[in-house]
Amino acid sequence: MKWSSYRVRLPLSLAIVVAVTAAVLSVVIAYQTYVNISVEQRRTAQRLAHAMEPVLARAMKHDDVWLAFSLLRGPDRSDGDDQVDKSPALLLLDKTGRVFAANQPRRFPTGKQLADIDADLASSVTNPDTGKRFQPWTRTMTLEMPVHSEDEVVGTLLIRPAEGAFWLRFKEIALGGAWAVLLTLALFLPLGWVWGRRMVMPLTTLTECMARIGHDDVSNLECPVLGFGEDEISQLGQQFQLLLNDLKGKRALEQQVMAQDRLAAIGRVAAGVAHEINNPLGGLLTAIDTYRHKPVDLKSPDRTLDLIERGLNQIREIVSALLVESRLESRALTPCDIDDVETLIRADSAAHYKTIHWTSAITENLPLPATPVRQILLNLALNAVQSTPQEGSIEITITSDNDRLLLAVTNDGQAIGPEQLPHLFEPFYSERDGGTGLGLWVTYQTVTQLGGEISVESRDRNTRFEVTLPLETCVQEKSL
Amino acid sequence: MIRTTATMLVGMGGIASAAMRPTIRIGLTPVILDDHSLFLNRWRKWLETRLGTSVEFVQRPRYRDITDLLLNRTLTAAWICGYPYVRHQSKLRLLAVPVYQGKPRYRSLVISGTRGQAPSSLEQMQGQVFAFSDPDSNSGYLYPTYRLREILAARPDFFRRTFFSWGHRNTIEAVASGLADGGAVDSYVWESVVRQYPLYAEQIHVVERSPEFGFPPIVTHQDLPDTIHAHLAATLRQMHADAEGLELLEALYLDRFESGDAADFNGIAGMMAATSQLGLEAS
Repeated sequence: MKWSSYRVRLPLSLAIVVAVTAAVLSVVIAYQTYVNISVEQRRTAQRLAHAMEPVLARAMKHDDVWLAFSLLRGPDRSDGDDQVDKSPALLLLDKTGRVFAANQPRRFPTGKQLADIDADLASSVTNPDTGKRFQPWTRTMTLEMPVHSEDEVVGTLLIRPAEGAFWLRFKEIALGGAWAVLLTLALFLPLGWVWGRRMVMPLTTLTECMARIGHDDVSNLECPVLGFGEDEISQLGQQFQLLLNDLKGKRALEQQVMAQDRLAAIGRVAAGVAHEINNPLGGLLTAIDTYRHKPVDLKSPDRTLDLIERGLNQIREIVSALLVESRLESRALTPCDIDDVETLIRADSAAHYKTIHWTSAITENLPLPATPVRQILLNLALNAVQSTPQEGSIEITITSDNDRLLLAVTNDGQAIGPEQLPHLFEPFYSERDGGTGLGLWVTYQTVTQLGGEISVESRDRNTRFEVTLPLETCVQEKSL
Repeated sequence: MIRTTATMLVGMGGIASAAMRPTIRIGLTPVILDDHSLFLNRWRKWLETRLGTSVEFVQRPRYRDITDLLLNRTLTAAWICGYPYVRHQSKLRLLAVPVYQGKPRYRSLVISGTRGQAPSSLEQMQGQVFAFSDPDSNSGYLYPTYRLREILAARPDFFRRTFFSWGHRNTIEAVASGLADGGAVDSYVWESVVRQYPLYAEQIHVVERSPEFGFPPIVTHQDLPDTIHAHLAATLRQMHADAEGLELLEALYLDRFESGDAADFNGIAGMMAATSQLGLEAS
């Protein structure tokens, strides 16, 4: 359990508040008790002195020591010695300062000068003839009162509270108070502790529940309801429940979107595959159609069949790639492959009265996989044909130097805007009606896979795609 | 039923007697422990039954008040000290004298607190606070004054302070509490008090014992009719013959009452003469 936890801090705070309150109360009560006791003692002494005065005056007048003593000792019938510390001293002095009688006769013997018995006390006694009826409490807390008999001062009554009696009483009361405070503490500390913990319990539950978010599946997360009250913690709990419900909804939506995304991805792949298969298919169908109508014009029926075979092989390889069996076999690029693409393109472009300027410098096999290169060339050529207006012209140049194959496809169609150029190779980006937006993306991907580069320039009515593909030694060896 | 009838008869007799005879008033002084009202009530009822008239006990704090009431005939009889009896012997007549421990006599005791150095005689109590019981008390004033008559005549300030406690019992309390260093008390009262409160015997020790004196007597005025005097005297003298009367006497620690002899008080008379010559008599 951490000390920073509210589970500890709140009960601890409550306990401290209870303790501090009790302590402050104790101090206040103690102070008030102190004041009350001193005031009460003074009043009691004054009342006592008032009540005794007439009888004491008579006793002094008649020299009746016994009468004065009987009155002063009051109900206390002890021998006046053992009680010295517990009862106040009452002394009756005659005019000369001699003890006439005292309730503690052993301590203040009759007939002796007070000055000889207790110099401190004697020094605090003023001359009874000088005016004031009540002297304020002196340092020794002795009440001094002149005894009058018919306006004549005949003696002085001294009332001196018992030594330590004040503290004894104060201690008794304070001790009682302290016990009460301790009892209260004993009762309320555990109560405060339990109450504090109960108050914090919902917060703890909430914290634990919140900690599970991110670890556990939100959909299965169930947090207990903290309460339906108006207090902050209940409201927090309610808000958290709302939040949790929102989160669950969002997660459900996300999963739905993910499912849709997967479907869409599958659709995209299907569309790409369809596109890639469709590209050679169009040319192949045209070739078969041409063969059917003008079989005589063709150099040989074998050539048409070869063309169809290579086209179908291309399709097979595309499908194989999809099935992650792409590495099964890769044929080296031959001049025939280039010718095939030209044949396929011409068949397509002738229908639209577009002129193809085809220049191929490939005369021998090259160490490059045939299918992707055919794919790239076909894609770029078809793209150019489709981007060229009626009676436009397309220029296709295929060359090679020692270590690379260069493809350049130029058309005089409308130029591509500078704002479109950066997005040109992104999937599903198409400025043309009916375009899937996959052609250039697939081309780019294929070129990149072959370790080549593709670039595009477009200005006025001249758009030029250039592809550079490095020749692969391994492919060459394999093909040999 | 029988009890009710008896009560009625007694009651009727009482009313008849009370109508014919005056109430008998008996004065009491602190020569006995006169502060037990329950005892006094029982004794009063016993006397009323025996005397056939109403009885009233009259108590005053000082001997002199009772003596005065007796002398002016307010009281029928009074239990006083031997000293006022001797002083007013011409006007007073002995009614009964108690017999205490076989004799109609008692002593004066000089007592002192046991704290500090205990004196062995009155002379050693110089400079102390001394408690007398009453200026009209033999044991509580006359005897100690007589004992120290020569010293006191020469040095009135022999004691640091003296005071009257107005009762032997008060003197005992004064000495026990330390208000007085010493005092003089009636031996009968001292012994009675110690029987009831043995603690005093530890706090107080007896310094001196006087010779025997006549026990405080019950007296009447000389003018009291003989019939009443005789009736009262007979009743008191017969007290010990009656079970309830004996019980009352035992409560007082007394054996019985006897008629008494005026000569028993000669010792007191002698002390009185000696002190009054020296002017030591209390006012």
